[in-house]
Amino acid sequence: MRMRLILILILFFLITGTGYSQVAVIANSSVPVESVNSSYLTDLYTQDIQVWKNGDPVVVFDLKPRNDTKNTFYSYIGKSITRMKSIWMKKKLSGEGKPPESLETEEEVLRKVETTPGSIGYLRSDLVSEKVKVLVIIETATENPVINQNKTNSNPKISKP
Amino acid sequence: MIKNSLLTITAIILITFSSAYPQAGESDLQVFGFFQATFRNHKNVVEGFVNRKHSSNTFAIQQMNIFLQKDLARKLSAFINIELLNNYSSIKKWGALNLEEAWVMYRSSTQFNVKAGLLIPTFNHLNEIKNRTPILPYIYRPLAYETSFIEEFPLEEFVPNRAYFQLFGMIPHNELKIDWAAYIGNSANINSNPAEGQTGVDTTRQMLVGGRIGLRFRDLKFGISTTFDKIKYFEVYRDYFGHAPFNLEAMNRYRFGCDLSFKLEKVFFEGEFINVEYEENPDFLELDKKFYYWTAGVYLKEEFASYFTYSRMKSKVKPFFRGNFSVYYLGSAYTINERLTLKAQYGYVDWDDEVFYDLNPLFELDGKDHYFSLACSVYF
Repeated sequence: MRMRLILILILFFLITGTGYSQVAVIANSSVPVESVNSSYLTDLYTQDIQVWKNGDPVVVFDLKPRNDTKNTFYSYIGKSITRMKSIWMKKKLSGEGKPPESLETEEEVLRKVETTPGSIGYLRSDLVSEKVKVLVIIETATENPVINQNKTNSNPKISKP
Repeated sequence: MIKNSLLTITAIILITFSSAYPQAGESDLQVFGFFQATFRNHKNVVEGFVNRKHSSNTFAIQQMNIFLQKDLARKLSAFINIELLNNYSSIKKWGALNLEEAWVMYRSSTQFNVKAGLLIPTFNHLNEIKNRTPILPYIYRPLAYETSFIEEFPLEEFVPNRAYFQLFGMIPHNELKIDWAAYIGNSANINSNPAEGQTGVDTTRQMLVGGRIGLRFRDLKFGISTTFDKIKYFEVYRDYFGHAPFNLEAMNRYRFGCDLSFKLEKVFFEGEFINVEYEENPDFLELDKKFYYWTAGVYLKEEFASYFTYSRMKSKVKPFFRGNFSVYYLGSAYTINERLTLKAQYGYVDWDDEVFYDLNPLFELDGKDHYFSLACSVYF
């Protein structure tokens, strides 16, 4: 009976654990911001804000594949992928912006953000390295974003804002 | 002709090679653009001084734009927009080829930016993007913005199409954003007569000044716009008559506009009002003009939108007719991908004209037009 209970518990954690993930919004260490909310993030991705407060240009990276990470991120900023593409096209055709570079993998996003001043991107939180800032952690259930107070951390200490 | 062809070939070679082999340390020259190919079925019924019924079918390249964009420095970029309208052909003398924009932009901060050069100034919601067909659901846009009708309507009376220096920015405060823009340009007193020397230049000391201030909250946008210039109204029509029909002093012309647009779940709305006033309106003529439109639509799917548009234009003088136009559009747009959008639109135009010469009404016309159009907007 006890063994059966343990097995059920293991199965439960396996099932719930498999679907659980977090998305980290990361930034190059040169970025003069320690945390962001969804509204500010939307402004960065829609290119309403193209310059950081220190005058450096904002460089935005996007993920090409439509995976869970991408869906979670777009759900958090409150824009559909189609809508964002339309906004980027408007910016491009007006000469006032360019669509962000779309990268094939989350590892590539990490490498690009590590090495590109003023850049931000998003990826699975377990891929985050010490060389980048974590600006916000987005739970899969996007209602409860967790802002990371640490500036640079390979093992982000997550705390409620 | 040979000289023009050589210039064109040289330009193409330069564009191609500069794109493929940018100088070391420089960003690539971006070359991109779009075109909109249309099929139109048109039925026209005119009553009054003449009675006429006519119908036609036609294919057309309604519009094609080619853009060149290059980052010159970290905060400096240049942009060129060349526009070809209505099946442009220089040999057949069809349509028009325009240098629409050629500007350099200095992006200082979110709050403060500068554009210098030939630019489309910020006015209401649609002015800056009116010619970007891939991002608009319309085939034929609300009347004051329908560039392909420029030979039929005095579009530049309603909205400013050209300015030369613009300051603009956005002041964010949490989710509320204040957009602002201020610009200057030439007055409408432009020399189009080659016999009088260089064309396309302002022959007076008058200037156009204008601006817009707007508020945004999420997908809700509201703004008010205005321009001021002095215009020698009848000088503009020298081309029609070979001389200025009246020797009037330059009159103050004010444009006032307001715009409202929002998106709520799957529903979207946009509307504008434009009022053009001449301060020293001669008693015997009514030069003031009014235009408004509103569009309400719904995204049936994320890629598929349907809409209804109503617009009304009261155009008093062009140069010597009075026209009132009520226009109804019913249309849909389906975005296959970011490169390709298919569109369908039915348009019903109810108009009446009163044609004048030397201030005497010559005749009246009452007409109805039905347009059924299909289009494919291609971004490349």
